Order: sequence, then structure tokens, then C-alpha cells
Amino acid sequence: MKGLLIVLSLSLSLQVQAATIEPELYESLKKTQKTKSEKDIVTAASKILAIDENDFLALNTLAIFYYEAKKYNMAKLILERALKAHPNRAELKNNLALVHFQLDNKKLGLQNLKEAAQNSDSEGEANLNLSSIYVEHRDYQKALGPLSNIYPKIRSKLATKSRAATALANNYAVALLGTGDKDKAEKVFKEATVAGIRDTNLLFNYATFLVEQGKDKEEAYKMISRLKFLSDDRNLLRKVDKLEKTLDNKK
Amino acid sequence: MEGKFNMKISLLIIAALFLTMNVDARKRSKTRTVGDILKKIEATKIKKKKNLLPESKKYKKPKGKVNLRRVKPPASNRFYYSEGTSERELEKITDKQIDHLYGMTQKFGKSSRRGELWIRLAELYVDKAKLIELRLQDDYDKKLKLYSEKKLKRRPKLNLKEATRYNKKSIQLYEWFVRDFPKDPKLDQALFFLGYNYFELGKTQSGKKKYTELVKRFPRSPYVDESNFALGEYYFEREKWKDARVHYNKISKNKRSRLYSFSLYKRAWCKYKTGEVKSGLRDLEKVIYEGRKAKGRSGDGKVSRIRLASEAAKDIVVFFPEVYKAKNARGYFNKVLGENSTKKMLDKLAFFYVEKGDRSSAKYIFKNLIKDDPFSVRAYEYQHEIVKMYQAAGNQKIFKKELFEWIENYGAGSLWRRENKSKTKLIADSDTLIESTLRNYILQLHQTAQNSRAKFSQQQAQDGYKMYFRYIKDGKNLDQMNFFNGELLYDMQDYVGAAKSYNRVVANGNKSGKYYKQAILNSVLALEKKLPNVKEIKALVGDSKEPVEFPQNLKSFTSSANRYLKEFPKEENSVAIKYRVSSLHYSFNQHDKALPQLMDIVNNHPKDKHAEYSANLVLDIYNQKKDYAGLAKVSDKLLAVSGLSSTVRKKIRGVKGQAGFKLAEQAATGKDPLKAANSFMDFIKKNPKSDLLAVSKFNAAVNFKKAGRMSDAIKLYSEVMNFPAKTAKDKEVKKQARRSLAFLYEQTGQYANAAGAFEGFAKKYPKDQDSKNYRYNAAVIYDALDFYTSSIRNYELFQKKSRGSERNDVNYAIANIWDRRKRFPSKALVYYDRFMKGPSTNNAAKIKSAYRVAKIHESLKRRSRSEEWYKKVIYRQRKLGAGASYAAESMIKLVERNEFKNFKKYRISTNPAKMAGSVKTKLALLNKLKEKLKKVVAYDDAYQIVAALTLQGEALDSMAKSIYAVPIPKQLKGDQIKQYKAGIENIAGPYKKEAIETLQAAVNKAYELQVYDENVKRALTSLDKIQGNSGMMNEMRVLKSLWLSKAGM
Repeated sequence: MKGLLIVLSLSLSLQVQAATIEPELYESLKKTQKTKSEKDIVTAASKILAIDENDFLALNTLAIFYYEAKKYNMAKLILERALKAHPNRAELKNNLALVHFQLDNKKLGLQNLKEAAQNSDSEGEANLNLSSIYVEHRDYQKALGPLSNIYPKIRSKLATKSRAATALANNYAVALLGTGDKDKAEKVFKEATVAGIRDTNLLFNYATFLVEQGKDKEEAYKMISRLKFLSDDRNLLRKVDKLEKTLDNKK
Repeated sequence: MEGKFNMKISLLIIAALFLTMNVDARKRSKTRTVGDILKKIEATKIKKKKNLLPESKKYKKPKGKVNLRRVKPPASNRFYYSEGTSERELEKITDKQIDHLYGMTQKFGKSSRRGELWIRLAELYVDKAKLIELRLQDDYDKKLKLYSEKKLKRRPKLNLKEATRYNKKSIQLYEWFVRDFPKDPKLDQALFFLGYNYFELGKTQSGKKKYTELVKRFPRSPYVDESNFALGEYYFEREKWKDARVHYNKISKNKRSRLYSFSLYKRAWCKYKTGEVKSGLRDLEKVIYEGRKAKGRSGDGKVSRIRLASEAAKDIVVFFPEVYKAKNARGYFNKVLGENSTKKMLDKLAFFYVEKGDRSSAKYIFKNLIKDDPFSVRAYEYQHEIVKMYQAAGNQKIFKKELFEWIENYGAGSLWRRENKSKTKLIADSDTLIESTLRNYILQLHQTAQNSRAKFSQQQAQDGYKMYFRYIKDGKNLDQMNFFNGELLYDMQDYVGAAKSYNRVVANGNKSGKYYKQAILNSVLALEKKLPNVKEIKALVGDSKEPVEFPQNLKSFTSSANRYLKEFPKEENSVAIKYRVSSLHYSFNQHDKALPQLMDIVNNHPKDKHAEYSANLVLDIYNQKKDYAGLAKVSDKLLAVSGLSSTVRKKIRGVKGQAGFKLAEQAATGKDPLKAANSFMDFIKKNPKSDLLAVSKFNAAVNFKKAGRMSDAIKLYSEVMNFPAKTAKDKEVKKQARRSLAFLYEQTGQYANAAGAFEGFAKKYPKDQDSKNYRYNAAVIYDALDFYTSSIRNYELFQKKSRGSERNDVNYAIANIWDRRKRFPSKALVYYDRFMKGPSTNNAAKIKSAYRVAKIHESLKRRSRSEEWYKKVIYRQRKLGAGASYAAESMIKLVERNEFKNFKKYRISTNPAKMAGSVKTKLALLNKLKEKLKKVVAYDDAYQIVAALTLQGEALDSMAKSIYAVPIPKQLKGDQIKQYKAGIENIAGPYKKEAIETLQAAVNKAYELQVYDENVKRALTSLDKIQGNSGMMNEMRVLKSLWLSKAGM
């Protein structure tokens, strides 16, 4: 498997946990998060934590800030604190897993990720992360288990162009391919491209599959054409050219 | 270390929970609470007025025996007139006679019988002079008495000028007579009166000359006696007893002389004065005898003789004790004066003995007289005299005996009294006298007791009072005696007895009496002495908050006190007493009774010191009930009272403030912390200058925290922290605020601030038992925040206060920091080294430290050092047991660098002759490698198992490739080449197959053990390469989150 450059921005749930906390405080926290200013974020988070010291969002936001600031121990400290109050929150486990990965503690990271995935709803990032690790290490069988359960649940979200759902669909399709279920893989790819119409990685996978199958050349050209239009990545474009030539040869 | 941090945090959370408890004012030993300010009952001292004992009649102590030589007989001129004669009348008659005769002398101035008229007029002038002198002398004596009694300022002077005027006139007439009638038979008379008048005028030489001429020229003249008597009197007056006696002797020889008795009488006194008392007594006896004789006849000198006899009888009393003993008196008087006069004389003698100070003789005579007539009035008086005598003498023993006898024999219930019952006045007088004597005696005893304060004296006085009350059941002085009995008992500290005695005065009901008011007050004061003290009250009341009934002594006291307050509500002591009563009600939780009285004191006597005390108690009653709303309200009421001192008002304001604080505290005990917090905030708003501001803010902060209002709590804690501490409590809350703030910062995600606050606390309060742990907390948070310097500083300060493994474990934490910083690997090495050499129970950390040291050396390209340390990891792990994964990884590292590298480096010879040998050698290296990897697998670490299998797969692949890579000998052709290749395949093929199997095993094991790392990827890649896999699946892209991607997964 070659280098994987995947760009998925983290989208955290903004559910209001405590009824007594004014929504404005969360709005304020959300705004300060973008500033990347520790002072502003800490101030905004502390206002929420002053009302509810276990506020999930405030703690998680703080943890993410410190994670991004590469202060992994601080992030770990906050996440562990948050997990005491919210032991079943998949987001926290997922983030703690990331912290462990950063601290070169793969074993604990994977363990937390698995726990996160178990508690995660279908679209949760933990599922995506865990499945992506499995798929990346070609453990398709292991990836298939949860993904086959999740996929029916996230299918409906593909229509909303959910990026996480798109990613999960992609990984599911790859896992299906890895286990030889090409038909189902094709079906999943098709459904995924509805949501990930602009996702060049997904389009590339689907295009590769179509070219390899050679059944639906029109669809394959369509995907190649879309990739050429959307991508500026020379490496990708070179691969797309190669695919196109293969497809041409199949004429 | 992670675990350790968690432990510390837990401990600190417990500490924080403790801190969230309100600061309970009651538990603050050094802070004064409302109760502390108020609960002290101010002792009020009602000063008992010292009442002077009434002046008792004091009996002068006789100065001793009467100096007989000083006793003087009465003036002789007194004896010229019979007793009862009116000198005034005589003077008037004399004046008329003078007027008449004077007219005659004027009328018959030339007559030959003018001498007769001159003589008669001269005689009248002498009489007149005598009468005037007598009058002037009387007048002088009276004035002298007044002067001695200090009723006159100037000492009187005896001026006889008015009398001597007549003496001069008389002299003139006699001189004319002697000049004009030298042969007249009355010449002796003229010479006598000339001598007399000159003496009267003080011209003694002229007088003596005339007397001498008379005696020489007319030795048989009756005026010779007169002259001798006059000369005797002259010397007698000048106390020249012997000279006087010479002249009296001359007269006493002539029994028929008019002056016979007189001369005897005067001679008796001269003898008395010269110590011849017995002889003098005989002269007096003669005078009495002559007097008795004179009664039976008429004639010249009868009056004066009788009177002289009477005087002599009186004087005998003076002479008698010098000659005879008292027991002889009755017989002597019977003999000399007759039986009828004996009693009278004994009476006089007895009193003379008293005067003289001869008590035993006096007592003897008095007792004798009493025996004569025991039921007489005088008998009672004689006994009284005995009592007085001994009282004055201070002979208590006899005095008491005689006094007792007097009271017993003449007081109520005595026979004497029964006998004299018809004499109501006498009885009344006797009662009065007995009472006054007894009272005087007791008061004197009391005075002595007061002066000496000796118990014996007090007991004597008390016995006296008891006796008094036994005999005296009523009378006007009963109040006085009861009152002073009370005073005595009070001094004797018999307060209950004193109160009873005072109460008898009160019960007597004489409200206008001198002692009524004081008795009521003193009864209160006496009973007040028996009141229980604070400790005793505490024992009676205990911890009860319910009203407790007064014990009997308190009931008596309050009853007395209320009686006083009712009768004398505006008296000086009434406020103090009212306060005392109300403070007792207060102490016994009888607040309903105490409050109105206390408020009354404050309202009506605001300037009195008891107003302050009362205000204190009023406030404390509410405080005790924890009725802080009521406390605040009553504070306002008290503040509305005008006249209270500024100090008191300040105090009340302080209490009001505290009441507000207490209200807030009370609210804090409820289930609504927000309400409690707001209550404290309200207090702060209303009392911006209160001493409790810091505490209130602190408590508000605590409650805001409880209510989930952390921002408010943080704000207030910060204010408290910066509050200028006025009191010890302020300092305490400042400390707690700083502590709480650290936790609140941590709680609200302000970790940098939390670390700063923990560090600040530890710096500010280095001796606090938590400071060490706060240093650690600060260090851990700084560590997490990558504030390396701050973290290390706090770790090191924590380390300084730590011992043993705790101290050493800090080295590991600091080593980790330096390790993470990368830039100062030597520092990391130093601290890892310290840690490994020091004591620690964390063996895994020790193995990891060794592993990190190996890695640091590796990063510094110190290969041998790093290998040395990898080996140490393996060695130490074997020894300590923990840290297998580090040992496994270390071993893999060593295998890769040595066995694997050596294996790969070894090339199979292309020389056919050497080829078999070199294959054999490489195979041996491969086996050696395998053996080593087996040891890695033995550590049972999933990641290193996969790593080992992957490495082994790669080695096998390398083995196969090395064999395949052996060039085909150039000399081989055609089938030979085929055969050769088949031979190669036979050798290399199994290695290739085994490589695939091993790599696949690595992948399978990875999937099985959930190992997803570079080794798996390496294994997969190797497999792809060996198997020539290419195509679709290799091109497939995995979609994953950016975070995961950034995490290196």
C-alpha cells in the first residue's frame, strides 16, 4: 500500500450537555477554537467548566487544542479527566487513542480506539479510524466486521454528503474488495461517490476498480474525467493517466 | 508516575472537598464570634454602703482615785444664808435699807449720832457687796461652765468692781467713824470691817493692819473671832492650810463663838488638805453635833450651824473612805448621823466611790443598799450604776455579769417589775434604760469588732445582739439593732443571716425609718453574695437552652431585689440591681423575663455602664437562639436608643454585622448553596467595612463553588487572596482561598493558572503540610504543558522535601522532560542515571530508563554505548522482571545490528569450490539469527513477536535471494544450466517458501495480536515483493482522519 494522504477535518459533535450552560458559551468556545489562541480557548472553556467542571465539550476542546499544540501529555491529562466523567464517550477514547499514538504507545492507542469504536455511533470518527487502520494494514476481514454493521446505518447519511460516511463507505468498499466481494464493493463505491463526489481518493479507488473490472467503461471514463478535473496532485494525475491508458487498452 | 499523579490529585480533591465546607465560625479558635463578644456577663458590683454605727453613750473611765487634796469646801459666804434663802430678795431689802439709811446720813450729817448711822450704813454696804459678789460669782461660775462646754468663745473674767464699789463706800464710812469717834465702843467693829473691806479690795496689808490693831486694842471683842476667821479665810483661799489653821484654831477654842462650827468645819478641811483626815473627820463630826444641837435652840449662828452640819454630813462622805473601809460605813453613819440618815449617806458614799473609781467599794455599798430594799426604784438604779461602772471600766467579765443580772432582775418578767407594775412610768423608764444600756453595750462591741475585724470581737458583738433580741422584743430601736446586726453578720460573711436581719427591719414596715431603705438594699446585697458564680451556674444550667428554674437562694435574691426595685425604682443602685436580676434570668435561659428588664435598662439608662452590659446580653439572647434576624433587628432597636456611648454603638454595629454574617452562615447550612452565597454577598454589600469581609467573601466563594458558580468563586477567592489581612482569620482564609483557587483553576481547565496557584501556595506557605504535594502538582501540570523549566523547578523543590523512592522517582520525571526536549540529551542521561541508581519500586520505569538511555546514545550515534545499554536493558529486565517489551525491543535492536547484519553481509561465494562452504556458513548465521529471534519471541511481546517473525522472514528471503543470486558458472551450457538452476531452486526454493510462510505468519500473528505497525507493513511489502503481487489492491487508498494520519497511523 502506498502513501496515503488523507485529509479529513475533525468534526466534533456540538451537542449541548448541560442545560444550565448558555448556548452562547459554546458558540464562544467554538469561535475561539478557530483562533488557536490558548488564552482565548482556555478562557472560553473555563467559563463552561465553571458551570460544569465535567463538561464534555469544553474538556474535549481543550484536549484537542493541546493535542494540536503538540502538548500531548496535557491533552492526555484532560482526556483522562473527561473520561472519568464520561467513560463511554467514544470521542474522548478516540482522542485519547490519538494521543497514545503520538506518544508512541500504539498498544494503548489501539485499545482505546477499539473501545471508542464499540461505543461510537455509526458515523463516529473512532469507527473510521479503526477501520482505516485495519484496511491500511490489509486486515480486511477484521475491518469488514464492524464496517458491514455500520454501513447500513450510514448509508442514509451519504445523501447528506457526510465526509465521515463517505470515508467509511470507501474503506468498506476496499475491505469488500480485499475479501473478494467485488459486486458489493462496486455497489458501495457507487453509493459512496454520491456523497464523495469531490473526494479524489474515493474517485480514484472507484476508477481503479472500474478499470480493473472493465465492465462499465463509461463509468470508468467518467470517474477518470472527474479526477482530472478535480485534482491538482501530479502524482495522482499520473496514476489517473495510467488508468486511462489501461482502460483505453481494454477497448 | 502517571499513577502517582492520579493519587496526588485524588488526595488534593479530598482536601478541596474539605475546603468547600464553610468556615464555621464556631470552630475558629482565634476568631471572636458574636457569642464570644457577648457571652461574658459583666460582673456588676453594687457597692455596699458602709454604715457608721450610731454613737453609743460612752462612760468616761474614772481617772483613778480622786485627789482629795483638790477637794474644796464650798465658799464660806454661802453659809451666811440659810438654805433656800433668795439672794435676790435679800439684795432688794438691803438696797431699800441702804437708801433709807443713806437718806438718814444725809439728813443727820452733822449729828453727834451720825457715827451710829455710818456704822449701820457701812454694814449694809458690806452686806450689799457680799450679795453682789455672790451674784457675780454665780454668774461667773455659770459662764465658766458654758465656756468649758465650749458654748462660750471667750473665757469669762470675774469682775467684782460692782461689789468692791460698796466695799469702798463701807471703808469710807468706817474710816470717818474711826476718825470722828476714836473712843466709841463700836470702834472694834469699825476696825474689823475696815480690815474686812481692805481684804475684799485686795489691800491685804491694810486689812491685816486693821485686824492686828483690833486684836491688840480689843482682845475681848467679839470681832476678834471675826478677824481671825477672816484671816483664816484669807489663807484658806490661798491654800495656805497651816496658816489658815492657826486662825481657825483660835476660834475653835471658843465654843460660844458664832464662828465656832465654821472654824471647825474649815479646820477639818485644812486637816484634810494636810493629810490629817481622821482628825478632820472628828472636826466634821463635831460640826454635825453642833448643828444637831443648834436645831433645838434659837439664836445667833443657828442657821449657819445647821447648814454647816448639813454640809459636813455631805463632806463626811469625802473624808470617810480615807479613814474607814466600806463595810464599816453603815455602822459609822448610824452612829454619827443616826439611822435615818444612814441610807442617804450610804447612797452618797456609793456614788462617791463611783466617782473615786473604787468600784468594789461602790459595788459593795450598792449591793448593800439593794439588799435593804430589793424592789425599790433605787435598787434598780443601783444595779444600773454597777453596770455603768464596770462598763466604763472596761471590765467585760464583771460588766456582762452585772448587766445580765440587771436585765434578769429588773427587765421584763422580773419580780421587781411585777412589784412595780403599777408604776408604769418607772417600768417604761427602766425598760428604756435597760434597752439603751444593752444597746450601747452591743454597739460598742460592734464598734470594736468593726475596728479590729477580729473574729473574737465579732462573735462577742454577735452574742450581744442575740441577747438584745432575746430580751427586747419591740421598741423604737429594734430596727436599728436589726439593721446593725445585719451589718455585723454581713461583715462576718453570714450573708443569709444578714439578709434575714435586714428583712426584719423591712418586715417591721417603718418606711420612714432611718434604716428601712438601706435594709432593703443591704438584704439584696447580702443575698447577692450567695449567688452562684459563672462556673456554678454552668453546673446548674448545663448545656440546656431551655429555661431552668432558679434554686432557692436565687429566688430569695430576686424577690429581695424586685422588692427594692419596686420601692426604690429610681435609686442609685436600682440599675445595677436590675441588671443583676436580669443577668441571672439570662444565665438560666429565662429569656422572656430577662429581655424586658435588659431593654428597660438600655432604654432608660443609656448612659449607665449597665446599659452596655444589658445590650450585650440582649444581643446574646438572640445569638444563643441563633435568631440572627432577630439579632439584627434588636441591634437596630438598640442603635435607635440615644445616649448610648459611641463605643457601645460601635460594638452593636459590629454585632449587627456579625448577625448578618451569622444569617449568611445560617443560610449556608441549608441545601441551597446559591442562596447561602448570595446571603454572604448581601452581607458584604451591606457591610463593606466589616472585619468579616474576607471571611464572608471566602464563604460566598465556597458556596458559589457548591452551587456550580465557579467563576464567581474564582473571582471571590482572588479578591480574598489579595485582601489585606487584618486578623488571623483573614490570614487563614487568604491561605484557604489560595488553596481553593488552585483547585478551581484546575477544575475549570485553567491548568497554567492552576500550576501557578499551586506553586504560589507552596511558595507562600512552605511549612503547610500540603505544600510539598502542591509543588508536585505544579510540576506535573507544567510538565504536561511543556513548561519545562517551571516543571523541573517544582519537581526539584518537591524532591528536596521528599525522601526515599518518592524523592528518586522525581529524577525519572525530570529525565523524561530532558529526554522529550531532545536538545539536552546529556541532562536526560544524568537524571536517568540518578533514577536508576536510586531507590524505586517502579521497576518498569527503571527498565524503560535504561532503554531510553540506549535510545539516546543511539540517537547520538554512539553505537557501542547504545548496544551496551540495550544489553543492560535485557540484563536488568531479567533481574527485575518488569519491562519485557523493552527487553524484547532491545534484543531485536541488537539482533538487527549484529546477527541480522552479519547474516546479510555474508555473501555466498561464486566460486563453485567454496560455494557449498559459504552456503553452509550463511546458513549457520541464519540459524544463529533464528535462535536469537526465538529469544525475542520468548518475551511474548506482541509487537516484538511480529517484528521477530518479520525479521526472520526477511532473513529467509535474503537467504533465498542470496542463493538465487549466485551467478551461473560460465562454463555451463544448455541443460547443464537447467540442471544447475534446478539445483539452485532446490536449495533456495525452501528458503523462499519458508520466508513467505514466516512473513505470512508475521502478518497473521499481527492480526491475531492486534499489532498494526511498520513491521506488519514491512511483512506485507516483503510478501508482495516475494510473491510479485501488484495490481488493484495495492493502489487502493484508505480514507482516514487527519488526526490519525498526524498520529503516524
